[in-house]
Amino acid sequence: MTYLKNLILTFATFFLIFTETRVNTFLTNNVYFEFYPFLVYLFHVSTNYFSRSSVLIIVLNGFYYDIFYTSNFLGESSIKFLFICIVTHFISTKLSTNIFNNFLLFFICLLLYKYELIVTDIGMSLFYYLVICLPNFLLFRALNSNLRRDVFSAKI
Amino acid sequence: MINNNSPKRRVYVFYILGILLSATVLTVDIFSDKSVSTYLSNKLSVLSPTPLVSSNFRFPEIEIFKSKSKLINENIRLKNEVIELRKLKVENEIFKSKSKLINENIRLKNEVIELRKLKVENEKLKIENEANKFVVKEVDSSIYDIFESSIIFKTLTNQYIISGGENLNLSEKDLVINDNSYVVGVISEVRQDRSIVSTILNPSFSIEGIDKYGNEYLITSDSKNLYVNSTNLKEENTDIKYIYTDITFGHPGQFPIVDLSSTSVNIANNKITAEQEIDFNINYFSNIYLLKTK
Repeated sequence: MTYLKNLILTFATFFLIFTETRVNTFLTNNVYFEFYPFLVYLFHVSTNYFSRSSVLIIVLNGFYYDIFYTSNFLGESSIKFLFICIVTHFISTKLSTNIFNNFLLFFICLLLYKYELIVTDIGMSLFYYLVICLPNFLLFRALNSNLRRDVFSAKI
Repeated sequence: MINNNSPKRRVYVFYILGILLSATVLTVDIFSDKSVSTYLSNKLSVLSPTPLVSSNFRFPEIEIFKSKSKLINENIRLKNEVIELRKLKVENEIFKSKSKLINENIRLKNEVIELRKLKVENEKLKIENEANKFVVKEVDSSIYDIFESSIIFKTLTNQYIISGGENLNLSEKDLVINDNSYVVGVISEVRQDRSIVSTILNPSFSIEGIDKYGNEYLITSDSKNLYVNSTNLKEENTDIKYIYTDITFGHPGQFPIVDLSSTSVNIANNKITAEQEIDFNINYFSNIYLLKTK
């Protein structure tokens, strides 16, 4: 059952990556809006669900990303995704939980996620990434609050 | 006191093991020159479907150009006929009867009317052709295979994945052009049914070019402007106009990259430099074409 769950989760996250790239392709002309559901997933894993079962899923997602959506060597994205998870989880354990710290952490997560562009153009405005970050963070908050709601334990 | 056997610490170990596994795969892929990723891409293409490419696409403008040249030839033929007929008319005036001359005259008049109609049509085609002059001038379908492509994905690094790859015999450094036959990207990687394109909007884009004097340039981008810097100067002249791609740089042929006719070109320290704003936008619905030498 665990294997089946992980398999379904792996394919679901493949679909997240597919959706992310597809939607961002459609949104090419909108400079200040980009949609990162997979980043939201990574952030969710790092802050709420940091477990060893996520490792293989993230590695496979990195492979999937490298095979179909980048010119990287196989494994580069996996390393990046795992590194983001480790750093985000480490910082989240050191920071107190409030919305500002959460946003700051999500912003750091986004900067790591887009580090290739930041490295090539260091002068790019941080404001640009802040604007991109906001709707994605709101998406994370919305999903997070819904996922936490335990429907079955609620009293009728 | 830090507990070394805490479960959270063990999870970190698993993540580091994951990084080591990925690093191992990365090393194998680097040493096998991407054969692992290419193999997996070919075998698992069902996980990321791509639309089909219309092969052997031809610019409609070329057809217009052909019909125009046909019309011009027809026009010339008819004009020659009219001249001959006029000669005949002169002869007729001398030798033939009046009625024959009248018939001949009517026929000639009809021909002149037809020619005038053709002239009007020709003018229209000329205007249309003028609008598409770059494509007509630069893209010769007898030399190049032209494939209409489409953007499938935009990557995190602002590269674009387009349809068409090894199935169209594309290779690295093949050119991507727009409607006006200007180079807007270069193929940086080829997969079975898709290619990764580095466009002029990519901050790491760079391409080598040549001008009409034989000066060589390196053109780079910061996603907003194109920066032209000479690398090998043979003649110092600011009247450059176009900088082209060239076979010497591994590209299929000569296609314009930038038009500097309305840009200030600077010469200093035995170097030519220029900066031009990028007037090109790419999106999912953009018309882009792939070029391949036949």
